[in-house]
Amino acid sequence: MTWVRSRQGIATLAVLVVLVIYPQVMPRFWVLSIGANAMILGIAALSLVFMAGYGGMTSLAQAALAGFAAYMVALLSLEPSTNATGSTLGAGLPAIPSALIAIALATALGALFGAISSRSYGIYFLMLTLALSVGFYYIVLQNYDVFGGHIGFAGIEGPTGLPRQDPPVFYYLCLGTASAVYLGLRYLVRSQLGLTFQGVRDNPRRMAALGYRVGGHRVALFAIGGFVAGISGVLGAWYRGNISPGIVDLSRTIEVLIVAVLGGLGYPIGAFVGAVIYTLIKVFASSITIAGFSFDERFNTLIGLGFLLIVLVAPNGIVGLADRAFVALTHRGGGRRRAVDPLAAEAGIASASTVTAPGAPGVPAGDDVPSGG
Amino acid sequence: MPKALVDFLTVLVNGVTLAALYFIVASGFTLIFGLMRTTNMAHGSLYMLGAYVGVSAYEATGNWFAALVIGFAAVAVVGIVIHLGLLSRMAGQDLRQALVTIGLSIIIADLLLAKYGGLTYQIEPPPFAAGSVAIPFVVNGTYSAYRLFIIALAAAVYGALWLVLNRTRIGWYIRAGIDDRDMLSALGVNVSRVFLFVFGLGAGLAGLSGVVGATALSISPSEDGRYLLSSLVVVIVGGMGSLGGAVIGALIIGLSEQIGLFYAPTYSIFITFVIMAGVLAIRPQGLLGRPA
Repeated sequence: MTWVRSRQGIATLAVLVVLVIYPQVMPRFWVLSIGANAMILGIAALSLVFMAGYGGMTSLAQAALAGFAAYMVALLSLEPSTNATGSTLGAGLPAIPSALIAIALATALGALFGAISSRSYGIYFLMLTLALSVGFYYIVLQNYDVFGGHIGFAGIEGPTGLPRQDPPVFYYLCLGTASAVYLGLRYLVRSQLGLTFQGVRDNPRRMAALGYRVGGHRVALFAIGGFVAGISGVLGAWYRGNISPGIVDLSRTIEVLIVAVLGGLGYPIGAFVGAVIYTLIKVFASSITIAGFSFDERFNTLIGLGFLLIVLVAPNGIVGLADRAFVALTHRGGGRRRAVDPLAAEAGIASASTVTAPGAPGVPAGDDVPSGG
Repeated sequence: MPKALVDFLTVLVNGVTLAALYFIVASGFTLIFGLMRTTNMAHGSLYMLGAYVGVSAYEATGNWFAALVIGFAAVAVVGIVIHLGLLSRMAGQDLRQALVTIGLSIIIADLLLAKYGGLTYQIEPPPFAAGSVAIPFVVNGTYSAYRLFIIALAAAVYGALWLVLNRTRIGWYIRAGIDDRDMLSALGVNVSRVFLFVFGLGAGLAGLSGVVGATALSISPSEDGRYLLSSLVVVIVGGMGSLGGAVIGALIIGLSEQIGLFYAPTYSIFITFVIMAGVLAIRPQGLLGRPA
């Protein structure tokens, strides 16, 4: 293998070393509230980037799927207790089995969402998944029998009392999980199944004619999205220790989307880059005051403007900008890689463009023909 | 009459009045989508903007109809600015337009929070619709006059939109544009001006519905999500871009929500979503929608 000698390999190695040393040298706040938090958010955004990039399915239901897993891990792991409406909730299982069952249930809910939306494409899909996501918020808000209504649940703990007992270990758990999910998805998209997903993305009709079950693959892709989002949800429940409908509200749904777009919808690693930047902005916006305008109070305006800016001028996000700058520097404008606008062309993973280029024959890229027509 | 029947009839009337409000909110959303394929994710925020503008206008003028007109006009102007400044520059890129409107919705909601705070406001109904009307078959025998007025208002909005779409020149252009935008343009019609009109009208309807809703219920931060959801579900069930579909969708959603709230309070949203999933399973384009 020559990857260690390549420039990219060296950079990857350097980033890994920094990530591993990080919790040993940084204070607790940086380890948990920035390090672990950003990775949990990054996994959720990765599930969206994966679905948007390889399936052409820009799902806004990922926060709901993560939140569902968080609720499930709470219900499974908390000791039984009776709430205000008289229903006894909590199964008292150990943390790890609870987590596995919760992730499995999130996968199943992802498949159900997929079944509901498998015949919707493009903007219809976006609207439908947004409706599912907002609907889930109102379900947990209304429902005291199962979801604890607006109070939710408190006292959720990971295995051996993580993360409060030992922040660095929890950080490593998040880092290991994030790396495993990232590498696993990278492996998946190179497999035959991954190629089929991309075929279904680029030309559902042709794939159907070739004998592939388009609907089934879209359901499967959504289930994988649910699986990844579920992992994020379980880690998030352990991280916060308590859950309430606030973890699945509209702003959380949009947060996942913002992180994915900020990093670059066309780049899986962008999910984590976007998450780190977003988390840093969110934490440190409180200390920024420009001309008497405190960004602490108007954080959403700041983030909304930043999001607009990215969507308008840098559709490939920050990683896309860096990628283009890198190509421009090393190849002196050789233009070896095409700049794909994932927002105009509906779909596009830059690193996979050798396999199936977005906007390939059959996909009217940037056209105003409704998708799936 | 037996109490169970009275209860049920009351729930039905509640459902229809809620459906009337949902229809007014969703009409602008479906109008914009039908012609321009633009998903205005800021529709809920425009509703909220209209509601707060209505609150301020009512405080200033004391006249409910003035608040209604100002709410409509102010949000229509905001919509026109959004369209001219942002959306018209990315015609045909529906995903990017959706993301831009999501960004706008965050900013609008945050600025409204800055201006009006977390308080809950309500607008007084117009004098002739204040108080209640005697209806023999509902609980207590009386019903809010204003809520019945919403039904009349929804009918008026439907009638006005029907007239504009079917009896005016711009309505011809809109309907022709829905069928074949390029051909309409080739015939010499300034399609971008038609788009601007429709976007302003759709946004204005969101603002108008905000004033109506803030009078019937109340307005507070985070109401944007609720009305964005109702608009989405109404047009998903009824069929995107169809005015008649919006009526049917609003009735189904309004009735199911109220019936659910009465008979299975903690599962009412769940029932709404089962209906939505059921409709999509049979007709992915919605009940009155045309295949994409």
